Amino acid sequence: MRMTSLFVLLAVGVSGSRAVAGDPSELGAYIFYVESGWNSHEEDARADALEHVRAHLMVHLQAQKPPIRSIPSIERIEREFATKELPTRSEWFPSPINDKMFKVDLRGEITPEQIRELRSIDRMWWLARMGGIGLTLMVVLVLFFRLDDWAKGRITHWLGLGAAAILMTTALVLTLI
Amino acid sequence: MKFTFRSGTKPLEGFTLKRGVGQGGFGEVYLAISDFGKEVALKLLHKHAEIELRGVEPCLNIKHPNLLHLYDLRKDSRGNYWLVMEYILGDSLAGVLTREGRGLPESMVREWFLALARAVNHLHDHGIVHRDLKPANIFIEHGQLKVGDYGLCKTLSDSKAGNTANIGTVHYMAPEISRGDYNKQIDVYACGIILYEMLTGKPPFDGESVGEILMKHLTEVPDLAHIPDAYREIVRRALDKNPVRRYPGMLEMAQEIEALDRPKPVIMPMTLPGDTPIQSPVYVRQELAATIYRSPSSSTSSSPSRSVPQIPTSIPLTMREKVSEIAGSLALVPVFALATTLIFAGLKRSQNPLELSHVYFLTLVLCGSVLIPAKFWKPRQSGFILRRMTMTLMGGLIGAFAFWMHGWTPQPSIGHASESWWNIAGVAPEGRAEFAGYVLYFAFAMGLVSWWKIPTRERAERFTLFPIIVAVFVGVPWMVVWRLETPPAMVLGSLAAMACIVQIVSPWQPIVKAVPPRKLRLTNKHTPVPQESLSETATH
Repeated sequence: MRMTSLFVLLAVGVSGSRAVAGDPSELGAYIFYVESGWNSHEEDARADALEHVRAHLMVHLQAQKPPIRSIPSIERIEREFATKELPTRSEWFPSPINDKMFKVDLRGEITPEQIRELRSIDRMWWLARMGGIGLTLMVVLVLFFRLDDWAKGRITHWLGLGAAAILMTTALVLTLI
Repeated sequence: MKFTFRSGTKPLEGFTLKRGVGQGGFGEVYLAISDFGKEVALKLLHKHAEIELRGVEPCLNIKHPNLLHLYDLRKDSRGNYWLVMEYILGDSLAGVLTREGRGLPESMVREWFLALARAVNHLHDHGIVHRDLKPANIFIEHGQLKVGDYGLCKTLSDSKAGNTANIGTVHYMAPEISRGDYNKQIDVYACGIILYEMLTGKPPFDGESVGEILMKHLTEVPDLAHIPDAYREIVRRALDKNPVRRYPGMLEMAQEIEALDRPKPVIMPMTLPGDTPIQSPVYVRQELAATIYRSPSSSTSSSPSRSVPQIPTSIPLTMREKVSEIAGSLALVPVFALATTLIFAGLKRSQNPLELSHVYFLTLVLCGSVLIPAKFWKPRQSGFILRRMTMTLMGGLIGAFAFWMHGWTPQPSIGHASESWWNIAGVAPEGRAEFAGYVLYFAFAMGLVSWWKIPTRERAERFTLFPIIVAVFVGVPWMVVWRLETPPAMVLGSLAAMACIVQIVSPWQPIVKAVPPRKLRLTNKHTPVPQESLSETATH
């Protein structure tokens, strides 16, 4: 995940946008400013700035203890985490561009409540995985006992092996997701 | 328990083992099924087989309705001896006494003890001393008492033999056993101990070591203060240290109990020595009615508030069956938790997946914390306070889990000395009220109600709304007190959902409250029932 965030930062950096500042507020919120690179359309510049907010958030969340893996979507970032306090800047770029270019500045803010919520989402995913493993264990146990009774103990060892294989596979798959 | 043979094997020709059901000093007992579908108990005599064989042989042709039937003694291809016995679908008297804790109602003691006396008397009449009479060897099947485990049975002619090792159960050992004296008086003594235990719930002599108990048998006078007046003299005489001063036989002891002046639900004449009662449908009906009929007037004044124990109808589950059952219940919980979460979403008109996830997982954890103890805690067993404390502690942990689920995380902080315990818990200052709310709420909710009783197999109804109402009743005051931003509806909803789900997913076996026919009940109140009328009722 850390590699992904570095990659995103690198990608954003290529487009020319950068973080301007990052400070905790008095209420414990983490505030930062970003600006997009120069884009030929205002929407592109805005999307670029939002990507940068997202990347900045990702790094900030990864730095939490314990690290938070849940990253809000661009739509949610636009709705809840980013505000546009300054008007869009535009400039005429001479040849060879010969076009009007736009740059968007955004203010990003994430509060402790939002961090807790994202951490809670993380934990829900973890619980879902553990619950999946637990449910598989229960189902496998029930099937094992039923089949063993049905077979009158003739294939207990094979059933045990099968149950262990199913459990291990499920645990592996759910852990890797 | 580790058994020599696993289920499905056929170590003895003609029988397939279903499972191991017990282990004793003389071997292993299995539930088995014959090739033609007859369920039997097979006892493998691999330890002390010679002693066992000597005891079993004279018992093979003994028939009595209150004695567990021994069908045959067989030898397998490996030379092991197997005792083929009747399989009892019921609990042992020890199990019943453990559940009741404080003894049984006198009317039930009287009926069961008379049945025990009949069985032991029948053995004595055939020259056999049981030598290992104890509640664990007495079984109750459909209300009928049966004496089992003939492993230590011994003919009277051998009773002075020198090979009588100290085998048997120390709580029921007569003092003269220490001198190697094994006549039928030791059975009278053991029956006296059992009578004492049936009346009070515990044996008269207990201790921390075998030696201590044996010494008490030899020297100490039993405390009869808790024995009902009518039985006190009978128990005192049966437990006399001197076998000569005890009842000469079970018949005399039973006659004194029969002669006790109390309402008699059904007259069951004691059989004369040598007279084997025939188990006719009328007899069975008569005895079953006598066992199950408990009119309020028939209970004695010494224990007016004691409830009538239910007739054990279920087979005690093995650990494997318990695990299988709990796994089945837990496998169903996620499905029903999803359903209740959707109902919660509909009622609260919530579309917030995070909130619904919290409800879902909280419900899962609550269900697990109730279902697992319920399966392993026997109903009506002692240790009530300990169970409450355990559930309260578990509730506190669930509260901490709910707090954790909401994204709070321990944060080491440097605080004042007065805040040190908060620092240990790692709860940030802004989350302390919420933490306390969750922990106290769930500790209170889980500790206040006996949740573990709800999903027991033998409950009155398959599903009842009562626990859900209780959950709401417990939760509402906290919703008023707990003025926090966190949604109390979530925790309340989870508790109510748990109360509902644990009932749905738990197997249910209706309690058999057999009541004699109206005609029988009416006749019982006044007079002994003539055989004709019993025959008539039995045919209806």
